[in-house]
Amino acid sequence: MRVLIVEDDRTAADFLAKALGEAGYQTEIASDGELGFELATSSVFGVLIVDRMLPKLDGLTIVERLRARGDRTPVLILSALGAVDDRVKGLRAGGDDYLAKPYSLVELVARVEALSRRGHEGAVTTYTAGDLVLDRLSHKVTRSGETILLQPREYRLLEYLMRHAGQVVTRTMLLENVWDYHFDPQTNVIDVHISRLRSKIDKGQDKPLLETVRGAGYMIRNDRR
Amino acid sequence: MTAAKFEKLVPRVVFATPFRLFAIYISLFCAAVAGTFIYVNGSMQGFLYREAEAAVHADFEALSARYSEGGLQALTSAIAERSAAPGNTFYLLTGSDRRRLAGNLDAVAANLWNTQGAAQFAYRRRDETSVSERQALGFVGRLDDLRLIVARDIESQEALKRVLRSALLLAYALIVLIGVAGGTMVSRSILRRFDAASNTARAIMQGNLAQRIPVTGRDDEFERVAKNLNAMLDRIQDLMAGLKDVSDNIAHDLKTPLHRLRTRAERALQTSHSQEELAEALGSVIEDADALIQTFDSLLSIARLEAGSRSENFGPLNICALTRDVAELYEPAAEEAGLALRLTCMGDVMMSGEKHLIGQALANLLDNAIKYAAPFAPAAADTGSPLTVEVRLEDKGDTVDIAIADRGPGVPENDRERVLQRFVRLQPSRSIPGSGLGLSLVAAVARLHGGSVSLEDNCPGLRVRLSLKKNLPPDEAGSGGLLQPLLSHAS
Repeated sequence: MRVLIVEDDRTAADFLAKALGEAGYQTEIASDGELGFELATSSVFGVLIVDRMLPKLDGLTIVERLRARGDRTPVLILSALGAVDDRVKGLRAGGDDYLAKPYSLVELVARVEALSRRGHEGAVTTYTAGDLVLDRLSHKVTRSGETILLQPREYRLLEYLMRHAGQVVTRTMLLENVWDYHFDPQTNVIDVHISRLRSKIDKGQDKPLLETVRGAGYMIRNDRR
Repeated sequence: MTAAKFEKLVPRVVFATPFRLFAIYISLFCAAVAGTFIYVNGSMQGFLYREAEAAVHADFEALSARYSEGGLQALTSAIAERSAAPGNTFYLLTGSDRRRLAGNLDAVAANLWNTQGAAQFAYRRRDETSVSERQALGFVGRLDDLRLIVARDIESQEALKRVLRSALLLAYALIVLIGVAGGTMVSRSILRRFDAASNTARAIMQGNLAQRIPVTGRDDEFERVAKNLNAMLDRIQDLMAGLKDVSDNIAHDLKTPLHRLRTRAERALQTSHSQEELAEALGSVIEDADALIQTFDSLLSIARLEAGSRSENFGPLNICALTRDVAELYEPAAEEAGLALRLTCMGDVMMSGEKHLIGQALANLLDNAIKYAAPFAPAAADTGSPLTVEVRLEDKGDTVDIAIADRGPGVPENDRERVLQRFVRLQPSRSIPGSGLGLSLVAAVARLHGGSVSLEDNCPGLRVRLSLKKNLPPDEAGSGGLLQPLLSHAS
């Protein structure tokens, strides 16, 4: 899959390209807004990474113009502005996700991964990972046929993890998508929620499914991959 | 006053607003005084001559009657009789050839004969010693082809008129002079006060913030303005000092973790030999950097909040649901630490506010409660009843109070104000990770919502009470927001 990086900071763009390259993406870099818009409209990309403040044409305008043309390519907006307001502006302009600088590369790759799969999801009613099955209609979770009882929040946590099975999901992504919080809870609150969930789905199983990815986040193993 | 100084002062004074106003005033005033004087002069003149006019007219009529009765003979004898009597009345009777027939008046100016009725003229009066030209008021008339002038000396009235006129002129000159001088003085004194204020402002702009506008001790409006401006300057100076303290602290508090990070990297470079050792050291460096980024984020958030700009995310929210959600987020962490998180909040309580900010504030408070109470948890667990962290939401009508109480070490009474400041961390808690910004952010969030944060004794432990106004009138919290235009420009 091809990813377009529209970023005027050459060093940052190179780091991004390398990290995404290692994750299996082909990347192209545009160093200003006009060039970025040109590239985005002239060829097909899986995901666009657009810096908010760019020479010639700013990031939000690029996204707005693309959306006005009917282009639905997932866009991740990068910005040095981190406040909730700026995030809202970014998403309102048509961005699909928003990441404040300075970001960690692991976080960024995880988000690109999540965005790149978004299109293929469709109307899936059941998520499966190994012998773990989550039914989105009945909200029932079973492992090897045995029903697992989950609290509503635990269910949503597992649903998000399973939607992104095989992908690393960071703590911030969980906080934003499962709790809808855009703030930093400082301590390891998410870790504790995960370990509770883990004790429910992996306890007594010889093949644990919920993995901790050191320095990054969590992942539900997807044996299909 | 030296000539140079005078030259320097005059144009400034003339073009100054007080002087311009004064000039307009003095012009109007002079016009009014002039009008009054002209009227006084005119009516005085009428008064002075009315009597003389009436006397000569009556005399003329009497002589005219004598002429009608006795003819020329009777008239000349009457005139001769009256001319002989001492007094100030003069007569002149001439024929049609303008030759004198009778009377004690030598001659008059030829053109006087053309008039009919009252007229003022000059005449020469001969007495024992001298000849002098004096003013007279006469009545000129014709009796058949004779011409008769009856006149009366009005020199004393004329003198009075002259005296009066010169007195009025002098008074007028004095009034104008005093007015202009007074106006100039008043203008200059007003200007001096303004100049003092403007010089102070200039000195302050040049960096001397300690300058103040001089006060005279009089209780006037200048004094009040000067006092208010000085009070404002005092406040600004205090704020500047506070700001300086804060930035000094920030510089210091950011240098410490930066130094730690640098040292760690340096040590790793010097001593790590294996790949694993280097990886571990780099991991720690990233952690340090993350902590620094978090500190910066908090500082920026606080700065934004303190600028008072209310964001567009400000809207109605169910504070009870939000509190429940955040408590639920922290519940497992509390349990992990051996603490029981208890929540008391019933039903729905609606307020207007910014969800993410209040959420962050509650998260910070819960985080603190768990962090500080955790070390005390094992001892309590041994006794069978775990320590609690209590979250209690109370609807107080206009405000919502959220109290978060722990059984940790608490905060000594005289430190309770101080810990709300940026980077203030109390000595015993230095070993517990944190930036010293958590409570500052909570306080800033409270202020933005028209509320406050207070720290209380939970006997033992700490109870933090976050009080938020339920309905802020539009823009009470965000008064202008200095930072907002800057930031929206940047985006």
